[in-house]
Amino acid sequence: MKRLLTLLIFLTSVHINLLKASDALPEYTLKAAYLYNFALLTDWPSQKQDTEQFNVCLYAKESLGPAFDALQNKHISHKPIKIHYLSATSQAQTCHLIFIPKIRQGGIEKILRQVTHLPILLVSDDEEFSAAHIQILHNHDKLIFTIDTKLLEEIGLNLSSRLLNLAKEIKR
Amino acid sequence: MWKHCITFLVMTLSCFRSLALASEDYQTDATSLSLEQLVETTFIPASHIANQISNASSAVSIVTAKEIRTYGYRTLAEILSSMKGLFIPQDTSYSFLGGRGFPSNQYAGRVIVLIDGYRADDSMFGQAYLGNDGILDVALIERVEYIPGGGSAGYGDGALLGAINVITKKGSDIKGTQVAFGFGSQHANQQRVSVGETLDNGIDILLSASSFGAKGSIQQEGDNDETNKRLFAKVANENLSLVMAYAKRDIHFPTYTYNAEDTSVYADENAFAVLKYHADISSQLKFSSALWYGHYIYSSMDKYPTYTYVGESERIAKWYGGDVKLIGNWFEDHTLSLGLGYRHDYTWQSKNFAIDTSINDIFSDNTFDTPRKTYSIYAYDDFVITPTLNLNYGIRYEKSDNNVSSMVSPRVALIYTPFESTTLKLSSNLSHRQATPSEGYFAKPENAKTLEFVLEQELGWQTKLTGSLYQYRVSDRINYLSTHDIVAKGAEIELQKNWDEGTRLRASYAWQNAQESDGAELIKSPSHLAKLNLSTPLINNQLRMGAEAQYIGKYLLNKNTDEYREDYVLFNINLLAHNIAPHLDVNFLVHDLFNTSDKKNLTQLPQSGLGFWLQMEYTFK
Repeated sequence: MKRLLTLLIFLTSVHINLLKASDALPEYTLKAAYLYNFALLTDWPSQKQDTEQFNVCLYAKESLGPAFDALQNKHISHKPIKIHYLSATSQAQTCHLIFIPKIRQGGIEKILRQVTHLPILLVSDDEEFSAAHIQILHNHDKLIFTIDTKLLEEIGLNLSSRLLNLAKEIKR
Repeated sequence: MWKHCITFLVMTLSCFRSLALASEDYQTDATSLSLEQLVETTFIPASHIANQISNASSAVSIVTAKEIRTYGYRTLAEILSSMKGLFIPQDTSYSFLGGRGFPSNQYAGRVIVLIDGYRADDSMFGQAYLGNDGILDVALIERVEYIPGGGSAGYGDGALLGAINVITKKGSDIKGTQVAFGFGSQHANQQRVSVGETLDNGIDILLSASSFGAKGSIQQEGDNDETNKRLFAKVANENLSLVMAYAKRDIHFPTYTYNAEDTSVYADENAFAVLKYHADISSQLKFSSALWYGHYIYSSMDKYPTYTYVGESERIAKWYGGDVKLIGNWFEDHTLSLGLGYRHDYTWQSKNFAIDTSINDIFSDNTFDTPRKTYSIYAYDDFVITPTLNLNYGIRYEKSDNNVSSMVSPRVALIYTPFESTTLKLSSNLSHRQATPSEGYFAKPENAKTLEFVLEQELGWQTKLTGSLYQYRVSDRINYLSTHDIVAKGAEIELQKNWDEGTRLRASYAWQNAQESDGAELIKSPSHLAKLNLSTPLINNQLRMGAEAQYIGKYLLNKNTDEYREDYVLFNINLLAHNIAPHLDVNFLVHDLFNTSDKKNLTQLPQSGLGFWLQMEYTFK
């Protein structure tokens, strides 16, 4: 009986603590929100405006979790966001934004060859992925981002000054 | 049995339920926040299910440094105990590794322990040291992989039923000087200082020294204490690395052989040094080589004052060796590995000395004039038949100069990935183990034939289910009690899930049925093992709780007396406060919450039974 009681207390404490609210947010929830803001604060050229939907492509197999799925059907320039999952052999030209997570499996070269010359925003949380236009990085317990304006100029994508002002570093 | 099973199940289901509720409530949409708010928001780091490093075709279990801290593990035995299908009982002085039904009082030596690729079990007893006698402080471990199933083709003789791969940290993982102090039940205390740095010229250095001491719970009836000292050094650059480790453990306990004053003192000393070099010769060819030295020194003293008996013994084993390996991509879709190995066990000494006033003094010295040299040659191929189908096959031939050990160990495995989220593996191995000098120098190597089927299924984001079915047969057993084959079959299932808000879950169940070929039951071979590991952040991510439950099914303790150990559930709970003050981590562990592991005087080790451990770790940057 005593043992059962202890177990009960133990389990209750697990329940209570799990439901305790926290000011901090999960890493991927924040990253998904960053992607949404990047998309909002980019001047999309006319060729990218003539689409029915706003295509956010995730270079990951199956799912990157509920955080990114939550972007589905939100709107960027009056177009609903559609989430796509890319694999090494996918067609990626119709994407507006491609997120290349650090935890991806396999090489990204095939996709890159298709898109590097197109006005598609490449975002990554991998500090070693130098082809990214925007990198989301860890800085102690906060997330920061860096922007490579040189690469962006080459493909003719302009970012709002609000975005540039908040970047931790701008590569020119 | 049912009571414990139900307790375990209730706990498991209840955790699942609360987790499901918790993750539903959790905010997954932060798009309402402005970019200005986002850059000011603290994040909860995502944790990903660790991928295996080793190229194994079995169902590998992994414990990383993060989990070692979360659950407050202090020995390799505690790390392994949390893994699927493993069972680690202890006697007064040593921990024994049991898994997949193999009797755990003999298992050490059937599963080899590799530290950064170096085979760390001693060559005198074939024991892998897992407790406070272990050669590494767990704070230096980056990850532990348990690769079940026959592994002689890959790892050489000894890996009869599996291998444990321990990967140590780098200096850059410590980045500074780390000082740790721990205190626990039974006057246990530990001190450690580690220095880690990457120099400007790219050389990475890690140095560490630690010591441990504990008094047992039965001091009133005689001395009972345990101490150890450990040293570790690792220096590496891009191509070259040197790893050195030393550990000595002394244990002193009453044996009560005849009287309360009767005591024993054991000392175990392990040391090794490994020099490794690897280089890319061309885009198609990689070269790697290693040179190593190791030794094990054991001494014991038994005192029975009333009978004026003093017995002393000493065992010394020393070895060195090396290997070279070429990995080539000469042919499309094939990765070929070719290698040569050499091992020289150049000292095996066994001395016994006894003074007994009732009879004459006894002295024996069994020093081997010509210890053993073992040569090996191996080849493997990883063949990509189609993008979804791999064939993995290889063979290792080993021969020793004692004329009894000539071993051919083949392996073959098919790995099929029909969907991105599903992997099926089918593998078969023949593995060998040479006798140690303590078992008899001229015994034939024993062998194991293993067959295993594995399913790895990803069930959505950060959720992975692993199932395996296996069978094996151990023949030509090196065992003076029974030479019957051991036949075993079993099934294991494991679920891992990580939630975005930081909760991590690992739950496993193993059913195993191992017996001798004449139907005789094996001792210390429980049929059911279940494990549950749950960790979750509390209070704004400042604190993390790690709770674990381990169910050990009923097992036979003693064949002659037909005595069984009843099943039990072991609960441990740890609280880890990360950066409680700048650079300071504190953890508090309650081990065996319900004092279930210490029944029936099975063990009187300082660490068994209900106990606590408090540790502080400070890093000077």
